[in-house]
Amino acid sequence: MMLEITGNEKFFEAGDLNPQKASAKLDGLITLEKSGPIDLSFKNKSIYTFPNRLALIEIAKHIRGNPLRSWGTLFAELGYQNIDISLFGKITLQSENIVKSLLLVYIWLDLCILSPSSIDIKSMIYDEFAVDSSNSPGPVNDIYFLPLDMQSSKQIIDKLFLLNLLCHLSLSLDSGKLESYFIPLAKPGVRIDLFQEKGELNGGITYKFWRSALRKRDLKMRGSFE
Amino acid sequence: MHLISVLFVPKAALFMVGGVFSLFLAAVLIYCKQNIKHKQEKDSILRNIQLAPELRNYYGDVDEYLKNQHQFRQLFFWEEITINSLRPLYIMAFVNLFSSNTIIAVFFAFAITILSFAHELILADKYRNYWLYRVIIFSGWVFFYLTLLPIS
Repeated sequence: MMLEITGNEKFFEAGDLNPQKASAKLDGLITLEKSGPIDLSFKNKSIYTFPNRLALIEIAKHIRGNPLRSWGTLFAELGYQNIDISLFGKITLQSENIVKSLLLVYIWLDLCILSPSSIDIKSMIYDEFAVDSSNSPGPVNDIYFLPLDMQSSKQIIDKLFLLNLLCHLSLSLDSGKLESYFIPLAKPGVRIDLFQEKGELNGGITYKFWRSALRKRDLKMRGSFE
Repeated sequence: MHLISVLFVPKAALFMVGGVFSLFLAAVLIYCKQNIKHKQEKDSILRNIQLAPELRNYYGDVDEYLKNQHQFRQLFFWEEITINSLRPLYIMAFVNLFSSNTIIAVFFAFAITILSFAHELILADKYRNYWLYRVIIFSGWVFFYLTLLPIS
């Protein structure tokens, strides 16, 4: 089984909102065999191989709600001194989005992956959300999987991916491969003119699409907490 | 001429003006409170960016960043009007029940009670941005006005 999350590495370089710089992709990957070790990789380098899924879930639960920069201390406290934190490189918005999302999505999908026949995995990766809860007061970040019908407009999806407003999820199971796009934990504010294509006004179709995706997320979250 | 004089029955007109005024006052207060919160959050982010310029990458455009956040996406005046608009109507319908006590007023008070409960518990957040739901609430206000008139 492989769980891969991809985001756009570049774009907000030195605070410059220039879409022309958007090119490189940033990968995070979880590879596991049933009841075997689990490998967590980032930027094509293995960060750590966990002995089993329970070890991964334990660390993911501790990491939830904490910023990436505090992970070194957390890993050490949990006895994972040999994890090479420097692999994350410079802690950026994008690397935080990828690695944290990877662990959050793994916790979210764990039961589905273990027992695909009991829960329909498609119902978990479209029009659903996972919360990066910190158990302390204050704003909480979340990831939101776009509904399946919203993912058909490839051009818009690609544009939002470039703007760091969407990440890509790829899940390879015995039964086949599933893909989905989600709104990441950290959503940078993107000026409205960067959404629009030539000849478009008011941000154009992409901006409206982005607003409607946020609206769907709000409604879904309100509906779930009521 | 007769219809116009009926529509301007002082009691009914005062009742409606009072209700609409309380509705607008509630919405304006909530909207101002939200705007103050929005401004405070924006100032706090700008201060953080000043102290640590690398945070600019995290926030990007601050106004758009705040628009992306769930708690600051509720800054729409007409949505606030819709979400609060059944509260004064609910009270006024019951006050009217004691003063007019017609069958139509009893029926209306009952209907508005059911709608108010549904609105507070389920519908308000979910449908406040849908025009049809706004039309239903607006119709409630018009219907209430009609129950106040002598012709009902």
